[in-house]
Amino acid sequence: MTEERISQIRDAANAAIKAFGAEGLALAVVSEGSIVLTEGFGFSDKAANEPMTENLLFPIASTSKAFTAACAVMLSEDGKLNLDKPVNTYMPQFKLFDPIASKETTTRDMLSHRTGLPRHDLLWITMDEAADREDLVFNRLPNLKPSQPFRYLWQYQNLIYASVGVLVEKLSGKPWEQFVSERIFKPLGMDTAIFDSSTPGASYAKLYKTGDDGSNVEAFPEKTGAIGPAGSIRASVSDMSKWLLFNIEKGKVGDAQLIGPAYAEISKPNIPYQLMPFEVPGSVRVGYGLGWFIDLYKGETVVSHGGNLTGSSTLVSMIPERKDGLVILASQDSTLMPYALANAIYDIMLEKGGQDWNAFYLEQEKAMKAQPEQMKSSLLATQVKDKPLTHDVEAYVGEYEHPGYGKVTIKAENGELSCVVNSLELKFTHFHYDIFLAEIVGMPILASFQTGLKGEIASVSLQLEFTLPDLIEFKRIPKEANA
Amino acid sequence: MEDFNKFIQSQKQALEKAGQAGMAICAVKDGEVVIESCLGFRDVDRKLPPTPNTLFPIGSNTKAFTAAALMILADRGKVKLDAPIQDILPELVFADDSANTATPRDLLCHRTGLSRSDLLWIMRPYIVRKELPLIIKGLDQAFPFRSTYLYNNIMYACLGRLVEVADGRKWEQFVKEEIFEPLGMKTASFDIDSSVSSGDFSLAYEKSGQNGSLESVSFSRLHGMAPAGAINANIREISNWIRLHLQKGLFDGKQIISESGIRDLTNPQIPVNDNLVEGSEVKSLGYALGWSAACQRGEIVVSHGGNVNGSTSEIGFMPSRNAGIAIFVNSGSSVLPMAAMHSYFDLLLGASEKDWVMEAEKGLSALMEQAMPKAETPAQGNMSHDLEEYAGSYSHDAYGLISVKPSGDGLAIRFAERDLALTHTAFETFSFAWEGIPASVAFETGTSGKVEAALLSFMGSPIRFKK
Repeated sequence: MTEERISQIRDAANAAIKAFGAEGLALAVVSEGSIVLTEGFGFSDKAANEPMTENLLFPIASTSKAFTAACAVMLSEDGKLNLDKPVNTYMPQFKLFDPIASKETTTRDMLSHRTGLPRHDLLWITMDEAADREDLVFNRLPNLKPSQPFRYLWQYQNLIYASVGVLVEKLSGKPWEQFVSERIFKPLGMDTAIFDSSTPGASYAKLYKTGDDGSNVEAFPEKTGAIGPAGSIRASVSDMSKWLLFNIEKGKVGDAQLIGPAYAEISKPNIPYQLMPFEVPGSVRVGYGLGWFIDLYKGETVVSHGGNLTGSSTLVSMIPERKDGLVILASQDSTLMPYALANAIYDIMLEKGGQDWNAFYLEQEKAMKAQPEQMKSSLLATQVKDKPLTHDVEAYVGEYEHPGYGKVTIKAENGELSCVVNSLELKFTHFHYDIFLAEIVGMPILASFQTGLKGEIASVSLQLEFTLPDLIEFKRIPKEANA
Repeated sequence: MEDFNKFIQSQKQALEKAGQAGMAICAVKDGEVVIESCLGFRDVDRKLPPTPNTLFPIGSNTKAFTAAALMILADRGKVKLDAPIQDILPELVFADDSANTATPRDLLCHRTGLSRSDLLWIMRPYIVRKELPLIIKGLDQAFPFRSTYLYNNIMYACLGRLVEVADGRKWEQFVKEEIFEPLGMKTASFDIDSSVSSGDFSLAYEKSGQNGSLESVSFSRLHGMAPAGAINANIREISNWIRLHLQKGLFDGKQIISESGIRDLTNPQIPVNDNLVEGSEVKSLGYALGWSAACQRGEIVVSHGGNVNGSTSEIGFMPSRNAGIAIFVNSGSSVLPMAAMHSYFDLLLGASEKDWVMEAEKGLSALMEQAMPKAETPAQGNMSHDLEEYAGSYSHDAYGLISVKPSGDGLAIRFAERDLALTHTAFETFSFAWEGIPASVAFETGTSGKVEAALLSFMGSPIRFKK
């Protein structure tokens, strides 16, 4: 790659930071099979005058999924796993709510998000950091309802990736983290890559989110805990450039072929997908492979995956036929900046320029960020006036339980109700009748109390999964059982 | 203005080079017919050229009509594409229990996992449509339900039956009244006899023998299976079918299919693995509902091919260029229609010329090689029974009967209404050929020591017939 192109890419990175009002990002670029750039742009900590560098660690978030998929494919080449056999062949404890899915789900189904389960993300988001992975997979997961028939539609699913992690553990006899370290990090020389549960040997990039006054304030990423295999890896862009090259070389690092012919399964689409609520000019979605999205951009097959945790927005992307690719780790919460920059860089590499991608994605970002407010106002429009609570506030107080989501506690303070879902406390605002409005990770949700035959408050149902027609019902735990 | 003459000239050369009979092409762009061209002969012996009114069998391009019929019924609330098909057609039962939750969409995009079972066409050509759903439970599941794309004609015939049960009219009548008539497709028909009686029809040809000379062959007759491939149409009328899709379901001021319905019909549902021209210029996106979708030089192309005895068709459109094309050829297994479609779109995109014929031929031979059984060193060994002990009738729930009887010094098999000689190959296996297609049958001895079953290998996995 010419110096001129590299300098255009540097300009694009700086322009993206400016346009999105971000603090910084770390970028790696591979061109024709060689790493041509690993560099930090902007600042890790502007106030302290600390620049972003290629060695600072980021939560790579959901780009961890491709590591979990690679583990499964490695185990298939070890002869320990057939990706197309029901997964209960290998772990009979694995069950899902839908009996067909329970019986037939294969590792390929799990890795391509087609079991029929919707996200149910609030389960892990509210979950205790110390929760047990196997307990989550074998005891909680089977109680979560599907929103689609088995293998019908692509629905992104983090908990199922945790299940593949457990499968890796069962088949290898090692924690998933250890398997990833030994089979991927070490041979690739990803020397500083770790998991969110480990002690870092290198410094973290400082992460940011937009504060109430619109300026950037420091943000702290979730610890993924039990669902680690869906997103717990933390690595520098220098580490990630090695991972990118390994994938561009279809499972080869130096002379070592860590994944053989089965690598072909990784970027083969299994099911069409839709992730973003908008179409991207020049881009056509093809499908989801194993831990990777497959698209066409300006006629080229692009294999990529993004990741988000609070304060961190990441993207790993490659054009395998050209052996080109990039990694973008941005220290900014929920931003589409990595996508804008990726397209700008590909335009430079493909010599097919023209669009202002920063403007395009900023507009989409604005529309997406306006969504919770729009949902809230359309909810408020359905409010029935002057319909008070049916019971005294104290009557709602107590503990309630759902076999998948766990426990919620309803508390009353100064006549106001609040709800503690696992580790998260939600403030309840009375809406109408026995229905309350709450906000959870920025989204408005409704909660509804039901009265039993004896006139007692028998359950509370929370709108924790929007794609399901029914709310998630938590049944009251009888006081005697509680005591 | 694009150079359509040059395009037509190159199609003429391709037709001559391939030594195929005739070709009819109709292309639309921005609502106008920009190409209407007829080349070669619809009847080689009588040297009759095709005309824009010549009827050709469109083969599997019929599937998009069946899909459109169901979308019309979905628009009217008479069919739910995402509810179990058994809600309306309870008699359609699969051997695989999971597949009994299949929806019309699953059948429309070929993801039930049911084996192709094309042997049914050959063994039971006269099976009536309403009986088809009843025999599905006798067919093998080739892949786990919804796991993989596997093209299936029988499922489309069942979808035709679904149209009939949901609406009350015959599939043919429904398609005629709800699609052909509003589109002004006056001469389109559902069986070859109506084509023949109209006078302007193409004869069917296949290349045969060592020198590859053209030979007139009999037409495919689909009977009960018609919804999978029996429509005959001319190029002029089919241009309206293309326009219907480019105009998002609207034709002559009438919304025949809802706009969302057209979107759904053309939206990929499952990745495919049988694309002839997968490469850097054309990349497959998957099978939709009666259509497949691909990306040609970055632009989406929705298309389908059709192949019946002695006839090949391709219909495709590129929404972003508001353009489409249909190419009919009266030669079997021709790559010319698909190649012509890609050339036409290349022309509109201003791309440099590419030899799509060669590209498609490469793809076709790769697929054929994949499908052909690998040559194996033949085993050697004697049969364990006397010849007459193999004689008898063998039956299968779905495919019906084959019978074996002594003939001269050996055995003969009654298969698909023909008596064919069986040649002993090794141990309990005998071979025969049906219309040049190699087949074999292996007999199985039960614990009683008697011959109890025959395992028939014909274009796919072996099927067990019981004595």
